[in-house]
Amino acid sequence: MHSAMSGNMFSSSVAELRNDNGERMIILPLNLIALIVTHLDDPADLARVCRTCRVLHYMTVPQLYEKVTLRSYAQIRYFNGRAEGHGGASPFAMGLNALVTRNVAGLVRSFKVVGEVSENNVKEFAKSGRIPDGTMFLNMSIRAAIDRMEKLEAVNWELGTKPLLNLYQGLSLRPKLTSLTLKFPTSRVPRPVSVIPPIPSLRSLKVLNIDPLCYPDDISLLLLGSKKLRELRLHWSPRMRNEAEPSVQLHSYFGRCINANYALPLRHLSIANLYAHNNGEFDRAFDPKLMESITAINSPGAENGAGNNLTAFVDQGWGMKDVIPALKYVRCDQVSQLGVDSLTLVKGLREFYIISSKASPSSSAGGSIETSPSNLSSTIGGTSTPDMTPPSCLETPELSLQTAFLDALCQHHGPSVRCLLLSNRWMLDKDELGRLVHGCPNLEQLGLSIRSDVYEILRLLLPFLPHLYAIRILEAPHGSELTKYALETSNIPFEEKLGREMVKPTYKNLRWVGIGDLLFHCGPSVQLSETGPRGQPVYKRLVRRVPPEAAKHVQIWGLDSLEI
Amino acid sequence: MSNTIILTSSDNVEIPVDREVAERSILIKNMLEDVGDAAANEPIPIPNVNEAVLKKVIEWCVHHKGDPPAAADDETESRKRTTEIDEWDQKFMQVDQEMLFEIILAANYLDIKALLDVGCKTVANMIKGKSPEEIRKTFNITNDFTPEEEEQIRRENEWAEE
Repeated sequence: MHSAMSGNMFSSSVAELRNDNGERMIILPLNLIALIVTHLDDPADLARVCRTCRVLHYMTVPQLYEKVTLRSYAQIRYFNGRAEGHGGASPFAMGLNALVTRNVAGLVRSFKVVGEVSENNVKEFAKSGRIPDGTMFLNMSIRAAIDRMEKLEAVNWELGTKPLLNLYQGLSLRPKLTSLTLKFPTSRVPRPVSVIPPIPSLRSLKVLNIDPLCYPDDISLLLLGSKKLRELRLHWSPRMRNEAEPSVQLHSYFGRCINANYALPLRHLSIANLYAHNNGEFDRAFDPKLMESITAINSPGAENGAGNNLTAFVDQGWGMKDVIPALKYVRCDQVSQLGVDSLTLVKGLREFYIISSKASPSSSAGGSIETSPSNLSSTIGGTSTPDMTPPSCLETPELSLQTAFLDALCQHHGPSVRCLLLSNRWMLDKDELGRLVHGCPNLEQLGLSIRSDVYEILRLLLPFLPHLYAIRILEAPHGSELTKYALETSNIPFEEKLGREMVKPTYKNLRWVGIGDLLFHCGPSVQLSETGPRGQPVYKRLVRRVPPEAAKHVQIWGLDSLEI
Repeated sequence: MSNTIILTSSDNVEIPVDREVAERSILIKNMLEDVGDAAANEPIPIPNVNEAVLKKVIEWCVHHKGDPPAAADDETESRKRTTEIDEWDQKFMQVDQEMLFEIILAANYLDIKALLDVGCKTVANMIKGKSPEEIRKTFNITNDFTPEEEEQIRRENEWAEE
């Protein structure tokens, strides 16, 4: 039975045979089995398919090992009263063993190690100036695995212990390694600081959790020597900013580049939680000519910003000294007057995202509504309230900033803008909306907070924005009115109402509608069984409410996060 | 140019079908282009597909007659959520496993990519979340590992099953 089956599975012709019960069964040719396997994306499913039989093992292992994530835990985990890995070693160690001893490492393109590592007597070893043997063994085993990964393109190190120099040396020898992510641990136990050697093929470097007191490794030679590097993302621990501790020295990252007179030819730069004196080195470290995208989160540049006056003296030394001529993309959590001024110096911006999501989104779930009922009606029920005087809380620098920003964007960028996510603190009125849609007619994605009825806004906006693909109406900070409005507005479900509205030709490119916390996907038009007053057919778009994750690939949702 | 063509199934049943519908099959489309309009009045033999399956495939092609070619952004969307299947297609694919596999084979032979994808996604969804033993049962797979081999493979790949 079995030999006949595998024989047929390997042939590419269509075969019929009978199983033990005499039922007719069909075996798919290998190319179709391979196609089916490509539709499995969860590694757990792939691993279970591998265990079914030899043929499926052979067909599925390449996909299972293309992307490997090994998780380490400091404690033994128990499932149903049994230790994980019972009778053998932990899944982390067994997976590493397979990579070193079996013929699978050559399949790996992306390799990630993550989690806590238990290190015994760390402090004792540190006192005598030594690295624990276990830590060295771990680095040796991972190095041995990496040395066998001929196709390795991406490495992600997020273990609770830093890589040692032997591991970095292994990385620098991988011919196809283009992407490296390093997350430094938060331990203050002394460790040697490795000077990371250059990786010739590296295009993208992401370093997370840099804290000068936690012995982060030295990236300055890596920056200077990796000549193909085009994308740099640096994330500092928020500790220094929270404590207003100016311990970060830019020279320790960019010193070698500056001494060598090498301006990093980056296309993409992201920084988060930067808190350092600017001695001009930041500007000298980069070549502004090639820069296309900038992301800045909780970093200098927002004078009215986060409300931490302690950091003001250090932050005020920052400002954009050079014009970035090719700038296409900006993502930030705060806009400052300085930022608005620099917007007027360049042209051709395509994407601008102001992050509204905060680290703890749970605050909106509490249901604390700060808006008074009259304010509520002017926010969402708006059609009947012609007089829309802004609440006094908005007559602040924030309001003039909002106006200045919109003016700068429309006048200096206008037609090139494709994706725009505005701050949820900026409530736009009808005039501002009108200027925005006229100024930026090629918008494909738009996220904004409005002072009016949702339908009215759609009707107002859409005729002027023929390319609009996604629209997101933001909830004001701490608000939940919009979400409630969409859920309870009338006795017909919101999806139904939206579906009937969206059938109009002006909405034909619109696929995603977000209202507060709710997300709707707009499918194709369908004809309804009912007919109109003159017997004409009635259509509606198929609108479904979907979980918020469904639009992660749409930028105005996916990029609204404090991740870099 | 004739709007209806005739397909002959492997069990010699002639099935008339709109030319536009039949041309969802790249195989048939290319064939019609090669033979020219004059010969298109002759029945076209589809020797690998029987009547029941061919009718099912045609039913799918009729429903998807007006489908626009997948746009660039649809492409990324569908790649992100690989196994999401259109409601109508889900119902269409609620057939016994023999028929499901026959449809996949026919879609592959006739070169109807969208139908082949739906079929493969349906099978992938049948695999998701199942234990190896359940997968074997579902697809009549004989376990040809020794218990030791199976245990070793389980341990080596346990990292993936968290």
